[in-house]
Amino acid sequence: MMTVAGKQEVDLNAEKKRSQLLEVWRRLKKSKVAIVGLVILIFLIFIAVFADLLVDYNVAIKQDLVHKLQGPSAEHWLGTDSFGRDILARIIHGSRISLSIGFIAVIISLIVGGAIGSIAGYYGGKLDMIVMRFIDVLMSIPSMLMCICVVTVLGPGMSNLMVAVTISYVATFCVIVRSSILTIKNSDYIEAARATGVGTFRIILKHIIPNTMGPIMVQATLSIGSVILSAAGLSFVGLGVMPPTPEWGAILTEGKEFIRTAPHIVLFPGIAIMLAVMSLNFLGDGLRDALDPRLKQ
Amino acid sequence: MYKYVVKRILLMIPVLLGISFVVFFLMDLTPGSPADIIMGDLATAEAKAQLNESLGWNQPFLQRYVEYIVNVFHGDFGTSYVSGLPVFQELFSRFPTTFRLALYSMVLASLIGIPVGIACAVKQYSLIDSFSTIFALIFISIPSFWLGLLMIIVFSVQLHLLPSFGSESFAHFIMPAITCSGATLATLIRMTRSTMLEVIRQDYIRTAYAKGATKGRVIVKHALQNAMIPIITIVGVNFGYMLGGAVITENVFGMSGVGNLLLGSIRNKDIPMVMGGVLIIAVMFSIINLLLDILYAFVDPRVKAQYKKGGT
Repeated sequence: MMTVAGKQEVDLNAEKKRSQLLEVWRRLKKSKVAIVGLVILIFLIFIAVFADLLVDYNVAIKQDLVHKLQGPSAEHWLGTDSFGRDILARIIHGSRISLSIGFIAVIISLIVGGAIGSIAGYYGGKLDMIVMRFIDVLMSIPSMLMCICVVTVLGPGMSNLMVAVTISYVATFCVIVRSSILTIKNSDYIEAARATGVGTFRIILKHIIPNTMGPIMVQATLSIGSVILSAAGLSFVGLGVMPPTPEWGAILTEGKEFIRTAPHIVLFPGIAIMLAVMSLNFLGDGLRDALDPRLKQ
Repeated sequence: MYKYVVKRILLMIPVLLGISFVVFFLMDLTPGSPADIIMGDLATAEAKAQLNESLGWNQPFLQRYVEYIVNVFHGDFGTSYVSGLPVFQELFSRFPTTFRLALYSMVLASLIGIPVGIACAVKQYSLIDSFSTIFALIFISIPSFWLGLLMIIVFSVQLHLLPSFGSESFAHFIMPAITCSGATLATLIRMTRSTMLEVIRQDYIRTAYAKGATKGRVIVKHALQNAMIPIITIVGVNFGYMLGGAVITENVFGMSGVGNLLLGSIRNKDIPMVMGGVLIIAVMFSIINLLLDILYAFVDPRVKAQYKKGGT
């Protein structure tokens, strides 16, 4: 009998969760801007996943000095760079690098920052004070400067770039998760869970985190865009991904010198960065409205 | 109020010490020694060792850090490893460029962003509202260095209208200011819109209309004043960030500002310059945050009343 009741409860919970998600999706669908963002993002992810099938990686890194600095043509749709490499091929393979930097850096900083923020927020007191003073320190250093310092220590390169960007975003997620937890940790249902003897870890994981997911998901979506921008910016000042790896910011930077003779080298990777960041901003904005209908008055 | 200001200033000290420690620690981890930077590759190992010894490089990390902080409290930020000039002097010779860039960008962003945001809120769901919202989302997604380069291609290379490099005249600041203001402008439009939307639904706005006040007066006098806090915060915080040097914009346009100086110093491992620069940025950032808090009290009588009531 107990098991039947338990099973029914699980079914009910699963259905409730599903209907909540459906409700968010129903609201998200209403926003044309969010759907445009979602479509562009899926398209870019598709390109990143199937890059090897679309064009061979060797085309993106093979030098062909005879055909260098050519404008768009039937053979090279987006032209060639100063080493005669096909820009379209570089942008297609660059999508893998730029998007993975964005997604991985945000996921890691979300996990690390979220863990620190939830512990500080849940326990409060001295622990919270110490953690938050440290976060204050991290947040008082402009993120670009922080990234530059970290990359200088570790040296340029893709993984080091990711570490640098992750460190500068940990504080942001820590603050958001902590403030979300502070607002709900004294709610009646948390009190009820505590009264029935549920352990702290389980309370944080099962009751608090799912209820704080809204603002965190929105922030995470928007942050992926900012991380892609920061990574491209670091590549631009020579501290990011090293050549010949085709990261979008790096492709753009290589074209900086030829801005007078071959502006197309700068133009197309910039459009790719803008499209990626824009799609995430469109989606994040729509998600915010869908998760919190009060904002959309 | 005074008590609150003093408390805030005192709270700044541990944060600033923390920042200096984090940056000193990071700089210490970078490979190479000061003598490598000052003397280059040609000097002998003995000469380098001697210089490192005289600079105190061989002492333990904590001792060096404490000595540095003590010197800072005496107004001595050290000497640049690269130029040999005092850090303070060099930073402040670059500061006017950074300050002008930050000021022009903020004025530009505010002059466009706030009125457009208000127009969007007043005419919600109109053409201007939808257009501005999408424009803001697109503008916030444009990489600043790309926008800068595109402007150089159009206005310098093709039209020969504006200089692309340097920071001597007002004309040199036009493109960098537009580049720098982009993201702030977009944020201001969105924030002004959403705050104004909240405010214009309040009862006191209806009362103002009922008293026969004109639409313009209600918007400027009653609504905008109540929506000012988030708007001021965005302008202030971004101004603070920009005072620290818009690293990438200064790099694109080859401006001799603090950002470009710091970028070069980090690459050269010019520790005294990096430390001095980061500390001064952090101090300015904290002071701007404090000024913002005080400004809130002037803009919003409710905040002032809170200070008086709390006695803090």
